[in-house]
This record gives sequence, C-alpha cells and structure tokens, in this order.
Amino acid sequence: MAECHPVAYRFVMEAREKGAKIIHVDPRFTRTSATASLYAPIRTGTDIVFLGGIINYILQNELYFKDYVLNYTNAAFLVNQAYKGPDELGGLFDGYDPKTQTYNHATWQYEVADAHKNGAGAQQGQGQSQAEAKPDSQAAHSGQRKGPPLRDETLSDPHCVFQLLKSHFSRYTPEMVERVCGTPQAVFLQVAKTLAENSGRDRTSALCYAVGFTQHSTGVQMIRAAAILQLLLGNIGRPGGGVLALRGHATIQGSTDIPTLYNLLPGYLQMPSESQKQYKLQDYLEANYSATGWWHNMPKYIVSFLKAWYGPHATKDNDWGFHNLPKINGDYSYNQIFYRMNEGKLKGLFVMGENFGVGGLNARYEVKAMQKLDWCVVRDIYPVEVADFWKAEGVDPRTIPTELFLMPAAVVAEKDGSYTNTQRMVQWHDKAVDPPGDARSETWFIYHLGRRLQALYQDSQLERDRVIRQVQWELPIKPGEEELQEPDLSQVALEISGYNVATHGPVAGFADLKDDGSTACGCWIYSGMVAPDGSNRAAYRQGDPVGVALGDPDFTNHSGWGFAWPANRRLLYNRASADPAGRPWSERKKLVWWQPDPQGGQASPGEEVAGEHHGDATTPQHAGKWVGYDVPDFPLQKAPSTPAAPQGLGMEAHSGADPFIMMADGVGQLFVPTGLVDGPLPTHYEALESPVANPVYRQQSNPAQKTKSRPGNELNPALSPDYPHVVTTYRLTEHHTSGAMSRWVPWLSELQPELFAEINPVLAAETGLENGDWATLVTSRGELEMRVLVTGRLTPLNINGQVIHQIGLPYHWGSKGIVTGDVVNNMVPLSEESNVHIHEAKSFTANLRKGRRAVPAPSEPFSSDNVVVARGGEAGQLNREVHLGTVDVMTHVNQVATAEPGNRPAVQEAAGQGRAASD
Amino acid sequence: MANGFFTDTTLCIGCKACEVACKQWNQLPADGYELTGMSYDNTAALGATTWRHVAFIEKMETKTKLPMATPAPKPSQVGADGGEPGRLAFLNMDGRASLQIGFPEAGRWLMMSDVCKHCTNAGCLQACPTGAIIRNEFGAVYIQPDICNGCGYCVPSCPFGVVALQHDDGRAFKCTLCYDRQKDGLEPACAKACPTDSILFGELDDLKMRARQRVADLHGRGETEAYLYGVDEETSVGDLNAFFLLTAEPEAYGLPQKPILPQSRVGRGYLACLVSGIVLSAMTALSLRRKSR
Amino acid sequence: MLKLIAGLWTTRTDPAPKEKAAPIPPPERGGKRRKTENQFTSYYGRPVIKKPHWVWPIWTYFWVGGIAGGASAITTLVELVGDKERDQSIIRAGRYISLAGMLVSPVLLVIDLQRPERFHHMLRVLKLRSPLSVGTYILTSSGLLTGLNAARQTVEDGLIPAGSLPAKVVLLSANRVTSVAQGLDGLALGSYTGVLLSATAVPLWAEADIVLPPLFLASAFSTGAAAISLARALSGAGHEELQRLDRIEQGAILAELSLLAYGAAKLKPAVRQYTTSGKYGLLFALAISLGQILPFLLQLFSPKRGLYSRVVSLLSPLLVLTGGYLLRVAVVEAGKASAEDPDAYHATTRCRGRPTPEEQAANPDRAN
Ligand SMILES: Nc1nc2c(c(=O)[nH]1)N[C@H]1C(S)=C(S)[C@@H](COP(=O)(O)OP(=O)(O)OC[C@H]3O[C@@H](n4cnc5c(=O)[nH]c(N)nc54)[C@H](O)[C@@H]3O)O[C@H]1N2
Ligand SMILES: Nc1nc2c(c(=O)[nH]1)N[C@H]1C(S)=C(S)[C@@H](COP(=O)(O)OP(=O)(O)OC[C@H]3O[C@@H](n4cnc5c(=O)[nH]c(N)nc54)[C@H](O)[C@@H]3O)O[C@H]1N2
Ligand code: SF4
Ligand code: SF4
Ligand code: SF4
Ligand code: SF4
Ligand code: SF4
Ligand SMILES: [Mo]
Repeated sequence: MAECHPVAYRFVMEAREKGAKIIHVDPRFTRTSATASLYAPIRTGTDIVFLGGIINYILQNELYFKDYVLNYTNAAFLVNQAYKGPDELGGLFDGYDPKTQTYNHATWQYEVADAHKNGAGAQQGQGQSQAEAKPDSQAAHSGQRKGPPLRDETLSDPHCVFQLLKSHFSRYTPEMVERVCGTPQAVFLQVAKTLAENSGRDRTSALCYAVGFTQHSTGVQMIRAAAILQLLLGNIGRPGGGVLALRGHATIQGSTDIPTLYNLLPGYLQMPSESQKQYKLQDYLEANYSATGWWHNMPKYIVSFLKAWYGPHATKDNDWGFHNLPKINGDYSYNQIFYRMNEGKLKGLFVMGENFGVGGLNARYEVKAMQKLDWCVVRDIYPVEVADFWKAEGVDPRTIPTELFLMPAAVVAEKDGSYTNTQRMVQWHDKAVDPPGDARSETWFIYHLGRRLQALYQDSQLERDRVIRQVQWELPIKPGEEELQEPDLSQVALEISGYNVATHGPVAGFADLKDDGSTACGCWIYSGMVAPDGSNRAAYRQGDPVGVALGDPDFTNHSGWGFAWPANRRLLYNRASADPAGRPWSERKKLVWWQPDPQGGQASPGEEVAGEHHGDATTPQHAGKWVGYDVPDFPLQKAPSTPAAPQGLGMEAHSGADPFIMMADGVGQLFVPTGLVDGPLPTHYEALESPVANPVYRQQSNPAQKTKSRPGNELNPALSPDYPHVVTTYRLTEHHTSGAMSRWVPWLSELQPELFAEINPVLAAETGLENGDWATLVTSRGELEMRVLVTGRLTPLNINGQVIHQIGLPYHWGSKGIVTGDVVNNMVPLSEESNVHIHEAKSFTANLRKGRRAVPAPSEPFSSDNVVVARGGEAGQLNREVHLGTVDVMTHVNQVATAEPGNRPAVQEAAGQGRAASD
Repeated sequence: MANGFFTDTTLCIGCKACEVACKQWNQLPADGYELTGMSYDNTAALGATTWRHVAFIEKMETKTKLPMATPAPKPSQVGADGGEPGRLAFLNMDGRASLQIGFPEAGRWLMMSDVCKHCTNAGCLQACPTGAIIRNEFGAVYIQPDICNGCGYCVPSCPFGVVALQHDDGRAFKCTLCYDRQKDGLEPACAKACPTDSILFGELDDLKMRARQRVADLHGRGETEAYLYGVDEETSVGDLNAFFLLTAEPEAYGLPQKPILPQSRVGRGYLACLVSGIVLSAMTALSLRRKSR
Repeated sequence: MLKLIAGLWTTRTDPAPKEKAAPIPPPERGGKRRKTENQFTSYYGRPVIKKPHWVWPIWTYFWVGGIAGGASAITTLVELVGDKERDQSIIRAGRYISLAGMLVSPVLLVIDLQRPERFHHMLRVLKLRSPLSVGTYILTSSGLLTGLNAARQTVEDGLIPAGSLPAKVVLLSANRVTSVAQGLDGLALGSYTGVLLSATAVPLWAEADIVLPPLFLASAFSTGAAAISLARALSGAGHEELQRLDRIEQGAILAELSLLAYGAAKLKPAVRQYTTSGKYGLLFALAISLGQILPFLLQLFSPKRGLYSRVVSLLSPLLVLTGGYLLRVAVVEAGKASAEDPDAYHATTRCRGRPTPEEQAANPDRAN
C-alpha cells in the first residue's frame, strides 16, 4: 500500500502513530513492510490458506464475534443436506461436471421454509455462465418469493453454515499454513492473534487488498476468504472495519460503477442476455430482479436508466426502448477479444487510454493480434508502445493491413471530469489549461463521433440503425469553450445523477426514481450527486464539522467533501455498527444507531440527510429513527424490532435487525449459494503454473478455471522441473503501470531507470548472480532480460520440504519513452479466473539464468539531451513538445531574488521564461 | 525567525515524492538513467541537480529461522562470514550442511530523505570567498546564483557533502529551502509533497520541541534506537536547521557521526602560518648571517 | 590517449555530475559493515563529502605561488640581513622571480574558476574565516608590492631611465617598507594555501591541519631559493653565492622532512594510507626522495668547482622545484582521494560525545 497508494497510506501511518498495528502479508518485504508493525512472508497465490488459517484459528478458539455472527450473517442458515464439500470430494464441490468444467449449484442452496426451494435452486444452477449470475432468491417478477431459509440458532446443526464453515476450514491449521505459504507458524500465529484481539465490540480491524489478491486463478475466492474473516470478526459495516479494495487507476472504481465491462450496465445492472432470450424488459426483470432486499427496486432503476439513454424514444408502449440495448450472446471478456482478433474475427478496435503493449498480459500475443485488424484508433497522450504494433519486434510494416489512427488526448488537467476513489467517493476536477494542438478530451471525441454517426444515419430506415437514431445524444457546449466545441460535463453529471423528466430538475436520490418513465437516471447508485439546488456535490470541498458538532472531535467522516455513492454514505451497511436492538456495539465504535424518540435526542447529521430517505413505502412508521455520524444505510424509520414478513417482498422481507439490505436475505454471506461459479466456500488451489503439488487437496488447480494452452500462449506445465521458480509481478512507487505516464518523465525515469528482478541471495548464489548482473528469465512464452537486485528482502521458502525461490518483477518497462526495457508481460500467460476472468500475473513459473538473452533488445534507449517528444499538433500526428534537456536551474530563483532587491545584490541575469507565479 | 525541516525517518515511506517535487519546482534536470544496485536508490546522492535525496538502507535482521535441507551454496557465495546474524548461516547438523533460512520479519528497510542542513555554522557559507552564500531572512543558507563564480571552495567545505558545482553551468547549487516559495508564504515543495509528514517544515523552536517530544514518545513505545541528529549535540556546526530523527548509526545514512566545521581549524592554521613564518625566516636569516660572516 | 591527456588537463568539473556506483555487492554482503554489531559503516561505500574539482591550475598555482612567496620572503630577508653589495644579484633575481610568479598565479586561479568572467566577485567581500578570501587579498597585495619592488629593480637595473617621471614615482613609492611588506606577504602567500586546504572537510587535509601551512611554507622557501639559485646558476654565479642559497634550501628541506614525518605519524590510519600506500604513497615518495632527499645529498657532497659542481648547481634546484611540484600534486590528489573514502572521513568525525538515544529521550523538553 505504501508502494502503490502512498497518499492513502498517510492515514495508515497516522493510525500507526495512534497505536494501530499494521500487518503486511506479501511475498516481498516492500516499503509497506518496512513501515508496518508486523511482516509475514507468503508464497504467492496461497492467501486462501493464510486467511483460512486465521478463520480456523478464530473458529477453533471461539474468538469470533458471536452476537454479530449469529444475527448479521448466514451462520445459522441450513444448507441442503446433500451438499458435499472439498473435504469429501478431494478438493471439488458437489455438482462438478469435468466436461464443461462447471458446477451445478443445486445442492449449495439453503433449506427454505416452503416447497419452491428445489425447483428454484436447480434451475439456477444449470449452465450459468458468470456473465449471467444473478442475485439469489429471485423468483418471478410476479410477486412470489421463496420462503426464508431455515435457521438453527444454536449453530450446532451439522448442515448449518457455521458448522460447514468450521469443518471446511479445519484443515487450514498453522502447520498447513507453514507448509503451503511458507510463513513461519510463529509469525502466522502472531498475525492471527493480533487480528482477533483487535476485533470485537470495542475494536475493529480493516483488511486492505489490491491486485496481490485479485490477479490469481483463485482471486475472487481470496477476497471471499477475507470477507468471511471480517464477518466472523464483526468487522463489516463498522467504523475502522471492512474489506477494502485499494483501487488502481485514479477512477477505476468509477469505471466499474459506470462500467467499461461488457456484461454490466451502469449501477451494476446486468446486461440483457441473448442466451436467456431476454428480448422483453419483462424477461430481463424476471431473470435479474430480486424478490427480497433492496434489489427489489431494480425495475425503477432500469426504467430510469432507459429513459436517460433513449429519452422520448423510451415509452411504456415500446418497453422503454429495451430493444435498443445489446444482448450478450457469449463471452466478450478481455482475453476473448484478443483470441477473436487473432482469428481475424474482430475487425476494428478503439484503444483509449490503455497501453497493453506493456500492461497487457502476454503483451506479445495481444500486439500480434492487433496486426490482423482492419482499422485501429489509438487515443493517447504519447505515441505509446501499443500504437507501435505495426512495427514491433520482427514485423515488416508492409505486411500489416491495419489502418491506424492516432488521436492525441487531453490529459487530466486539460479537461473537466471526476474521479471515483476506493471509498466510492466521487470528486470533481476542473480543467486547468487548454490541451495543446489538436489534443481533445474523451468526452469531446465520443460526443462528436456520436453526433457524426447520428448525422450519417438520420435518414436510415433500417431497423438495425435505430439504436443510433434513438439514443439521446445532445449536450450543450461548455460556456467559453465554443471554439473547441467541448461539451458541458455538468449536463452529463445531471444525467448520471438523475432528473425529473417533466421538469428536468435533479431528483433527490434513488428513492425518488420511478418505473413509470417520470424519472431518468444514468446510474442509480450515483443518484443525488447533483443536489436539488443543481450544485454538483462531487465538487463540494467542505471541511467536516460533523464530529465536532456531535461533541466528538475525533470523529469525522468528511461528508462535506465530495460525494460518496450511495446517498453520500461513507460506510456501506453501517446498520451493522449497531447491535440488533439498534444500540451501538460500543461507545468507542458507534456510528449510526436507533434513536427511539427524535425529540429527545441531540441534533445529528442523520437529520440533515433525511432528504435522502430510504424508507420503503411499506415500512411501518415509528416515532424513532436511525441517526448517527453517517448517512444510515437502512430505511430511516424502520425500527430494530420490526419483524421480517415471511412472504413479504423487498425490504419487508428483512427484519429491523438485518443490516445487509442489498443481500436478498439481509445478512452477510459466510457461505455463498449463488453468484460464484467456483464454489460456495474459498478453497485453496495452486496457481495455474505452480512448481508445488497442492498440499491441501488432491485437486491441483481451480477446477472451474478454463484456460488452455494455445499457440502463442503456451502454459508452463504445473510441477515442471524446467520452470522451478515462482515469479510475481508488481508495481514500483516510481512508475505507473505501463510506464506511459512515467517513463516519459525524466524525473521519474531517473528514479527507477531499468527493469530489474528482485532475487534472494540464495537464488543469486545458485545462479551465480551478483547484484546488478544481467540475467535472463525463461518461460514457454519466451525470454526476458533484466538486471538483478540481490536482496535479503526476499527469502527462499520451505514449501512442504521443497525450497521455493520467488522472483519479483516490476512490469513497467517497454520500448518507448526515456527509459526502456524488456516487456515483462511478454512472459505472463493470458489466463482467466473463472468468475471475473482476471489474469494470473501474480503467480507464474520460470527459470532464471545468468547473462543476457540471445537476441539483444531492439530498442535504443533515448539520450536525455536531444529528446523531443511529440504530442498534440496536426490531426493524427502527435506532437506535443516535451524537452528533456537540461533546464536552466536558476531562472526562476533569480526572478524571485530580483523581486526583493533590497535584501541582496541586484540580479542582472534573470531573463528567460520563468514559471508562472502561482503554486 | 528561522525556519527549517524536521525530517522524521520513522514516518518515511520512501515514496520519493519530495525528491520529485523539488526537481519539478526548481526545474532541475534528471541526473542520468542508471541502475545503481543500491536498493531502490538510483539517484545515489545529493548534488547540484538533486537537492533532495531519499536514501534506502536494507537492514534485514531476522529472528525466525526455518531449518531446511538444501544443496548448500558455496560459502563464498553466501557471505564468507557465514551470513549476517540470523540471516543465512551454515549449520552442521548431523554432519550434513544445512541452510538456515530466516525471515526478514524483524528486518528494517530504512528510508531517509536527505537535504542541505542549513547549518547554524555553515562550512559552505564561511568558505565562500565571493559572499555568494548568505543566510537569508528565513534563516536558510542560500546561494545567490548571480554572485557565485564557481570557485568550488564551498564544495569540500561542506561537512555533509551537500553543495556541488553543476558541470555544465559552473556554479554551485543546493537546496534553497525554497526561498521563492517562502517569499510567497508557501511551504517548501518537498515538505508539501510528503504524504506522511515525514518532512515537517516550520519554525525551528517549535520543530525542535516537537522533535524532542517525538523521541520521548518513541522511547516510551520501546523504540529506543530513535534519536535526533543535528540538534542538542555539541558540534562545531551547531544545530542544523534541517535536522533528522534517525534510528540507526549516522554512518548508515551517509552522515558524519560528529560533523566538524572546517573553519574551526582556521585559527590554528593561521597560527601555524605565523609560527612557521617566524621559524623559517629565522632559520633563513641565520643561514644568511652565518655565511656572510 | 589524447582524450586522456585532455581530460587530465581540463579545468572543468567532472562531466558526469555524479558517479553512480557500478554494480556493487549487495548490501547484505557489502564489506562496508562492521559485522559484530550489524552496523553499517557507510552508505554503500559512497563518499560522504564531495571532493573539490581542483586539478592542474590549482596545484600549479600552489607551486608557483609558493615559489613567488618563498622568493619574496628570501629576497626581503637577504635585503635585511644580507650583504647589500654582495647579495645584490640574489635580490635582483628574487624580485624578478617573484614578479613572474605573481603574474602567473592569478591567471591560474582565474582559469580554475568555473565562471572565470566573475573573478572580480572575489573582491566583493573579505572574510577572515575563509582562507580563500584572505588569500585573494594576500595575492592581490602581493601582486601590487611585488610589482612595485620589481619596478624599482628595473629602475635600478637601468631599464627605466633614472631621471624619468615613472622612475621617480617608483623610487619614491617603493622602499624598504614595501620590501618588508612584500616579504611578509610572501610568507603569507607561501603558507595560507595550507590553511585553505585544511579548512575543508577533506580528511587528509583536515587531519593535517597544523602541518600543511608550515609544510607549504617550507616548500615555498626551498622552491623559492631553488628558483633563485637556478637563475643565478644559469647566469654563472659563483659557488659561494649558490651555497648560501643552498643553505636556505637545506634548512627548508629539513623542515619539510620533519613536518612530513610528524604529519604522517599524526594521521589516523584510515587517512594515513593516502600518504603511505598506493599511487599517492608513490607520489609522496617520489616528491620526497627526488625533490628533497636527493638534492639535499647532492648539495652536501658537491665539490666546490668543476663540471660536477656545475651539474649539481643546475640539477639540484631543478630537482627541488620538481619535488615541490610533485608535493603539491600529491597533497591535492591524495586529499581528493581521501575525500571519496567514507571510512577516512568517518575516521575524522567519529566521536564519543554523541548523546545516546536514551540520553536524548530522557530530556525531551530541554531548553534550546
Ligand atoms: N506507484 C504506483 N501506484 C499505483 C500503480 C502504479 O503503477 N504505480 N497502479 C495502480 C493500479 S492500476 C493498481 S491496480 C494498484 C495496484 O496496487 P497493488 O495491488 O498494491 O500493486 P502490486 O504492486 O501489483 O501488487 C501488490 C503486492 O502484491 C504482492 N503479491 C503478489 N502475489 C501475492 C500473493 O499471492 N499474496 C499476497 N498477499 N501478496 C501478493 C506483490 O509482491 C506486491 O507487493 O496500484 C495503483 N497505484
Ligand atoms: N504483469 C502484470 N501485468 C499487469 C498488472 C500486474 O500487476 N502485473 N496489473 C494490471 C493492472 S491492475 C492494470 S490497471 C493494467 C494497466 O495497464 P494499462 O492500462 O495498459 O497501462 P497504463 O499505463 O495505465 O495505460 C494508460 C494509458 O493511458 C494514457 N493516458 C493517460 N491519460 C490519458 C487521458 O486522459 N486520455 C487518454 N485517452 N489516454 C490517457 C497513458 O499515456 C497510457 O498510455 O496493467 C495490468 N497488467
Ligand atoms: S498518484 Fe494520485 S492517486 Fe496515486 S497516490 Fe499519488 S495522489 Fe494518489
Ligand atoms: S549542509 Fe553543507 S551546504 Fe548545507 S548549509 Fe551546511 S555546510 Fe552548507
Ligand atoms: S562556488 Fe560559488 S558559492 Fe561556492 S564558494 Fe565559490 S563562489 Fe561561493
Ligand atoms: S526546500 Fe525546496 S529546494 Fe530545498 S529540498 Fe525542499 S523543495 Fe528542494
Ligand atoms: S515524500 Fe516524505 S515519505 Fe516520501 S520519501 Fe520523501 S520524506 Fe519519505
Ligand atoms: Mo489496476
């Protein structure tokens, strides 16, 4: 975290100074380890064992938060008696079909009170791809629902989730952790103990992860394990708790919310499915709507969404324009794009702000695939590696048929826009300077492209062109930007936030959205971002008086700064910060609570945000309400004592003590019956490429994982003696991902000028390498040369009696920019995790040998003196000037000195263009 | 009023934001693009175009050891000394070489952002024959670039190796304590950029008070290796306006244990001149006399 | 080769702003660590301080300035205590030699400046604690006085017509006082360069702080006398005259040798190695044997007349002058090398006086 999120890490350091213990678990001793209180080394890809070990430790020693677990999780739920887990099936769950490598989820379901259960469960389990995974407990939109799951309040039934969990994790002992992860038992136990001690009524612990968890063939289940752990410790929905995904690119969270993913619509609405024949809105709703919980409101969101996209062309009579939405007929995830491209099935490509010539997995494969395109548009701020596919290593440009358009892009300071950060907080930024030359913002490009398309097709009567004709594509031009014709983003913000169709005035929040076409909202979770007075709350920059107003100066949630979706709520599921009766679990950790008599209590920010009511129309009215330091994530007036209606729909199905309102059952899921394709509980499998035989189960790697070797993307066989070492890739603070934004900057380039591998001294000795030597990494994808940093920060591991060396490789280098180097991702295979299709860049195998690779690197590093980098300028021609030569260091200092001649001898030689005086 | 820096290395995360912010604000060129092999430090030292420099020191001490049988590497390859304490050691167990592998869980990777110390008694300032180096109104040791004639005398006169001549310009450069920013009431760029407030900028008396309290706090927490470098020490350079909280011996960071003001030798030197002048003159006079007789 | 020579003779600073350590042994194996306490004794063996950029102009200046200073002092002493008549030729040679030296010295110094056009900035201030500043004024005043006294010499030599106005002015302004002043300035000029070096952080120079000024002055005397002696020998001076100069040289050489011995003994071992071993040891050995011991012995055992005596009378001052030059090169270069050695530097700054962390912590709110 210190490496990749240094600014956020300041808060971690602050917490450390206030006494918090920072634990860092990583294969390498990094800058984070250096500043942590406790460091635990681990073998890559084994976090399920590590976390499972802690879960087991907590369950065995009864250290879980009992009241929380019983009331706020599905621990007491009974699961189908026929369910069998990996313990019995050698690492597989019940329902596995080796042919399709998929699971039938039938026996993973809860026992429910009525008879619908089997039908519903079986139907869901069959042949679902993750693209179509749905919230569970769904039933027909027609108003029926399954009965509530059966419970065992004593948590002793062998089929209850709690007992299943206990037996499932019982093999993840400290000895097992040491054998699989290589973490010494003593260190592991210290971690487990520290975590358990720091959780409970009075204390909470947060668990942060980023791509060290995700980029594995078991990535999703690692995060699941983290979630289970945090639920057991009562660390979800409470201040200081949580499983926090430290997001990547500045608004990668935003690009998930309003997704750049093929299978989602904004606000986590599913994309309609062709295979499920969702041709009518009704079919779509039937498949995706949840009878119970907040998702019950989904129809309002999708209708408002369609209204935002198609405006007057979305009417009740034409199914709100639902026919215009594309229907997914297969897997179009990232890797598939390149497989298809390679087969010549994909003709054109827009590359906008991505440089997969370096950042893409098996970059060589991806770049080669591009050579088959008919056309390609690259919009970037520099002529980056990916734009060079037609003259890459060993390519004769004359043989490449692709027509390439290079479009200069405006960088962040040259355009308005917003960031959504890790905390879901949307922060607006304003343009500071005009983009140079022909560089333009993304909005400009997309907007004007759309307009031209609409103009082209306006007279077409063809059915298939209707989509282009009917989409709402009118934006006002930003005042003052008439010359550049830059669209006004405040209108986009309003559309995202939602408005009343009749008045075009902003809606107050998603509770105001309707399914009758009277409201339009581009992304329901962002609803309310534009305040009723029309101001953009994402641009709010108020210091936070909240805590102070409450007489608790230590508590602050900065609610006046930016806008956190949903409803400016800073902590999701914060109902869980109070006990079932609505009282804070402890004074120290209070956040929101039930206030029985609103007149008697003190003023609270809860009232201030009452406009963002979440009351379900059917919620019984009480005198009391939820108040606190944050916007309560609960129907404001639903009393804790409200019982769940066994056949009730939507929020009625939840009791006043069910905090997880987005979940169908209102509780946190320790066991996940539906939604995951590779099992209801996290299970350790070895990485696709691993030199170690799975010590936990017979099953070697994730059974639902479908990656196969293919030409150009050969996999190293597991356990292959030819590839004995484990490689993990990662980032350095000094560079950014593909290096396109850092390797072109002299000040960053000098800080980490060359590709290197971090290796431990023992491996160095075995390979005959000295610090700084050249070495070559060998995989079945080819060879990679780099220098080595021999460091005690890495250590050999004893895995099940086998010595395993881990090699660390930062992946920022490529052939362009000031500093260059081999592309690490030429070594990493394309692979797909089974739920979300992420690659496994954090764990693959290789061999290491001394010396450089046979073929010398094709690219000549730039010399710093004469580099003029081009960007902007003529259309298609990138030519923004960045002079990297020596700068006259003193120009501005002199100027300042002149400003105050009284103090020092007068200065004669100032002159030159100094920097503007502003900071 | 004197302003300065308190750099608390226990808060440094080695992000180098300070180094980059300084270069950006002062429009300093890069020094070159070479891997040094010195941990994550590739700018190596303070210099004419690097006025902030973040040092990385790997002190990987380990506690836990896992005995494991493994083909033992040649001793010469793994530290002829048999390994650092707790690191790698060859133990002869049952007559067979086995390698003890330790985990760096007790390891320390020290990071320290170094800068001109703006010494109370500054060697560079006292040495400068042109008066280019002055103490400015913010208490900083400041080189006036329009005066400096590149004599280079300040360079060896700095007991910390800070100031340097710029090769293609000829003049001496070092941290200005962001004189221009301070003039505008802004905090120096490096301190502004530091995400963890490892670099604190402020009024010196206040900083010193906070620093002393900080050492006391750390000791209270059992971090007894923490100490202040550059204040409350009896040195001829006096208190440093940029002082540090360190947790290892100064040498590890490339700092002198006890900096000495070079000019503290000047008096002695002049005396030696005088005495030797008299003696040699007398000797010469005598030899002349003797011969003339 | 040409490049090498050119490199040697450049006055610019290193073109590489900062030498990066070539691939170095990993820190955990690095030799720069005291094993017992797991202590680091340096930052990757990198220099702590920066060496000066000084090359040939500086050591040449030290040499030329020394000769001029020594010659001035000797000339004045001869004037004061010598036989006016008999030593007239020595005085005359002394004055011209000083003048020559004073003409060359400033040029060398300006060449050395990295911004030579700003040489006059040296005269903006006078800072007593900066030997370089003080030296500037010594050099300036020396220059004036030497010029004046040399001018008188030209008048006395009849190079300027005796009755002319310039001659009158010269005779009026240059007198015994200016001559004494030039002598004193000469002493200062010959010795201040030692202070200039020792008032830096460079370990060798700093450690040799009370040795360098006398050493340089003694060398100024020996080389000054040698320069006069060479000039006189070339113009066919008699044995007795040369022997008087030899005496001065011998006294100075004895002083140099004892100072060098004392200095070496005084140095800490980590610093001393730069004078006793390696290439700098060789340079010192060369300077001492060739420029001090050899001429000393030659002079001692030289006959009064004959070819051998003539050879010696030419050779020995040449050797002394060469030795003086080598000594300056050795001191400057060895000093620079010691500056790059963190062990040498730390040896000069290590102390017992640092308060322990505990002591510091025990007293958190100590007043300033
Ligand atoms: N300076 C900088 N900051 C960045 C970025 C950048 O490029 N440079 N990129 C941004 C982006 S796009 C992202 S996605 C984030 C990523 O942020 P991070 O996830 O923090 O980035 P990485 O360095 O890729 O990986 C983190 C760590 O995971 C460790 N690791 C590898 N395998 C495992 C494992 O199996 N288990 C565990 N526990 N750890 C493992 C690696 O050693 C590494 O230290 O950073 C963002 N911030
Ligand atoms: N081996 C390995 N591979 C990895 C990872 C790993 O950990 N290991 N991490 C993966 C992760 S998490 C990520 S996020 C990817 C990142 O991989 P990429 O997204 O391919 O890398 P970036 O360098 O972030 O690419 C951003 C591009 O956008 C350009 N750009 C910047 N600003 C703008 C703008 O305003 N407009 C436009 N149009 N362009 C702009 C930049 O110049 C740059 O070329 O790498 C992935 N690859
Ligand atoms: S680059 Fe931006 S997002 Fe990343 S740590 Fe720095 S400030 Fe935060
Ligand atoms: S640290 Fe060096 S350069 Fe800075 S003020 Fe002190 S003597 Fe001068
Ligand atoms: S180089 Fe410049 S600043 Fe340094 S001593 Fe000489 S004149 Fe002064
Ligand atoms: S004070 Fe200014 S000049 Fe000095 S290091 Fe910091 S940023 Fe650079
Ligand atoms: S900015 Fe602060 S935390 Fe980062 S390296 Fe500099 S001092 Fe350390
Ligand atoms: Mo990312």
